[in-house]
Amino acid sequence: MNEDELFEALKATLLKEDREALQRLQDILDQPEKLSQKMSPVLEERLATFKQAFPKEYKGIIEKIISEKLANSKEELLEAIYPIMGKLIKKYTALQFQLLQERIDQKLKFGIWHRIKTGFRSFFFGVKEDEMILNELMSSTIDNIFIIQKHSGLLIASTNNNPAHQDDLLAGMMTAIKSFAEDAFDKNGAELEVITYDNYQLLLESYYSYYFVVAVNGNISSHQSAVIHEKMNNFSAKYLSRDKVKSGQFSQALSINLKSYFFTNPIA
Amino acid sequence: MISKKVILTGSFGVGKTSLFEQFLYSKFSQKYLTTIGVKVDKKVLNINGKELSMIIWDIAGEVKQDKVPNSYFLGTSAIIYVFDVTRKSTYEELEEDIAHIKKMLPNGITAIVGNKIDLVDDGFIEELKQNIPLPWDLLTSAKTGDNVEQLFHDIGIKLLAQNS
Ligand SMILES: Nc1nc2c(ncn2[C@@H]2O[C@H](COP(=O)(O)OP(=O)(O)OP(=O)(O)O)[C@@H](O)[C@H]2O)c(=O)[nH]1
Ligand SMILES: [Mg+2]
Repeated sequence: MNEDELFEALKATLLKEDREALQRLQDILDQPEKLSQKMSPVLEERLATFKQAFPKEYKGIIEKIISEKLANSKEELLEAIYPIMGKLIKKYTALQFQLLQERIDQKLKFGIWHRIKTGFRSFFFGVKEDEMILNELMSSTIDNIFIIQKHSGLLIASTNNNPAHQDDLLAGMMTAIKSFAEDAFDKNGAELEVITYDNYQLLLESYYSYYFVVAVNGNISSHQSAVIHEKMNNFSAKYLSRDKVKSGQFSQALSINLKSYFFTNPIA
Repeated sequence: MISKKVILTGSFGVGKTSLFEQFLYSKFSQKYLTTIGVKVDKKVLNINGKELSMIIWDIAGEVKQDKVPNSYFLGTSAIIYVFDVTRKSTYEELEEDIAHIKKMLPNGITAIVGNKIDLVDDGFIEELKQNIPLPWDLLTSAKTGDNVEQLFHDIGIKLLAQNS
């Protein structure tokens, strides 16, 4: 999205100019006011473009997925569009705007500074920026990831190999809490998205016949949460199908995939 | 290992939680603590050398089954419907309740269970047989443990049969 373009621009500058240019850039980065001056117009312009372009792009995505999936069964189709209907329309849009807003609001603070530093690092080390943020998060705070069959609450996959952890029981309990909460506060099929206790957060991402739970120890930013959600979507598209989930039985193979997809460190 | 969701349902105070506790922990308490929402626990059964993991949902009692949130029924493989042999009001709605459950879960295994048989004698049971709207599958006592293992074991056999 926009920071990609931003980093492209920065990279271009870096490649064209010599070390002095880098130094100049560094100076700007070290001075919040200067940085602000440079960044604000760019960010605001991006926000405006994004607002304008979004409905157009969104329509394209939906149409593409529907045409790809129409050949398949109705349930396959539901599985495919479920996260998009629910998330893209309501939450995803809101989240994207919130992210932009956050960045603008905090343009002088840690937020932007950190992002630009990570941008540099990813440029020099050739690691995708999202990947890096995810890794930082992984190494410190994600405890476990579950994939659970939606209604039965049966565990399909988990990143935890230790049977003593009783992940299948936890999966049942979380599903019961989810059902209870959704029933108690029923609002047009809205789904529970986060359970918080103490310093723990359970992030829930629902699909048509299954849902993910990411157990996070500590606070995460909305950007980090967006990265996780995107990872879940990508993992679903790559590894999960209705058939895989239908039996409601635990899959070792899927668990291994889940673990390597979320926890493998691409830098190492 | 095969995992299945099993629910305990029925009117309030019939002994669902007591059956659950007796089966899982071989415990019984006279105290009545009504269940709020739902409680989940798990037990691994060994049936003829095959392991089956039962994820058991103990649901808050409702006077009529159509009051139970639909989401509790979804994805369930077996339903244990419990009534209290000493309280007529807990089996008066039996036919409607079972019809509702069958509608919710056409392929689910159902067991109709009369609990608290330790409180009644054989004559009473004979009379109950004449008056109950639908026949029961098993009579149990969560207090003495009578037929409790049997109940879950029978369901386990049916679940495994269904799976193969
Ligand atoms: N004598 C006797 N008492 C029982 C038996 N089973 C349960 N009770 C008593 O009946 C009361 C209610 O039992 P629970 O197991 O809490 O009933 P429940 O169906 O879970 O009730 P809700 O959660 O309110 O729906 C308690 O006081 C139990 O001690 C039984 O087999 N024999
Ligand atoms: Mg109870």
